[in-house]
Amino acid sequence: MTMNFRLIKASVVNLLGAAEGGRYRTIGYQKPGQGESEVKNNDRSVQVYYSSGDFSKSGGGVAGSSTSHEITINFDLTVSKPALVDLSIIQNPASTPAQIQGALAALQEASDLADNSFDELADIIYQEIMDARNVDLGLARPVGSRWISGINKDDPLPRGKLVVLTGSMQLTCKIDEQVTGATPEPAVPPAIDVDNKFYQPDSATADKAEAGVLTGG
Amino acid sequence: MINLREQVELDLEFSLEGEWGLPAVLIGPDGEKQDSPIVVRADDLSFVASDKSVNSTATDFRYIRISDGDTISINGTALNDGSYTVQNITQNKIIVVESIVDESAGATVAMVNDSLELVGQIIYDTLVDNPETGQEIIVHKPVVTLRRTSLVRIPADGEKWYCEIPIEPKVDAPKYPFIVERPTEDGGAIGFIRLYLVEAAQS
Repeated sequence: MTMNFRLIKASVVNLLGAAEGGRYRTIGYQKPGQGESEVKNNDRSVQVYYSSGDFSKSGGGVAGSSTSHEITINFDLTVSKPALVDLSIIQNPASTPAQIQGALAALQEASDLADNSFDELADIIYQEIMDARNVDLGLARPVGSRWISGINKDDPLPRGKLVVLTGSMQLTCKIDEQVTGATPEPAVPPAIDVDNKFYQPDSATADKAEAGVLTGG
Repeated sequence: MINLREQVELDLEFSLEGEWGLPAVLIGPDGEKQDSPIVVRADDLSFVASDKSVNSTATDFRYIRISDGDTISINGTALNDGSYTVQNITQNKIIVVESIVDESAGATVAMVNDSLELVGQIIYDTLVDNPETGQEIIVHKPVVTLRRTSLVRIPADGEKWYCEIPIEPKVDAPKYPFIVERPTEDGGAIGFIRLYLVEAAQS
């Protein structure tokens, strides 16, 4: 039986995937650091992965018992932007210096665009996850203590000819896990065999044995 | 005694604008394009109408980057700003095809060779430490280093500059648009400026 934290993670990936609408891309695992070449055709992405979990102290001595699991799901946000400028004016040989001056004055710097784009992405992700309609995060009943504790924005990285900005958000929630064992059927003999088996010694061997002496190997 | 300033300029010309140099086009916040280098900047240039010449008492024109037939632009004069075709060069005299007006020396005059491209050192990839992992990674981030004395106007921090460089390290490769966005690194004392570029896209 799949543990609920895996269902939650898959469900969050689906939730964000369904809400993309071309605004960003959802990646359902943690990638190593992204280079500029990886993000240049995909200017906003969110990586979703189970980051950590805390279980309540429980021995799990009864098959099928449940235990509380407080999980943290990380959202790593990445945005990348070039500077925007009216190239049709700047690259036109017929443009006058005054026209080019105007185009340069109106250029939007990549750092500014990346910063605003990151804020917008964080806004979308937060609203989607904390939307009351998504209170069950894909499970059959509401998930307890669903909470995004904060948003971290990193410094822009020297990752190439685009400005790349990264950051993260953490979703924590509390779920129950059923402890059913990793496999549906026991794969090894049980520690205590409760079957009644009666030993009936071979008659020939029994004849040669003395009373109280175990024979055979 | 060695003139250290002149020696540095020679070294920069050789290292930045020599055979490994790649062309760059700069457009400043005033909308003026710089795609050719200044080859002379001096305050001893005088102009003589009778022989259509530009004259200098200190500059040896035989050793600057001008050849017969080149087109030069002269800026900073009172009467002779404009574009001229070089007809003949001697030690202290350049004779041009077009008419010239008599003008004595005094003003600081810049002579741009429009027949040459502005070139500099362009480094396309840089080795940096990834702050997340501590590993060294190669980052594709062009950095352009230009000789200050080749520039009509020098980019300053906070200004909006446009720059085009070849898309790959080949002289005849198509040029690609960039914006100078990070603060420039200015080696004013030793005569170069380093520009950090960010890709530009159509707004």
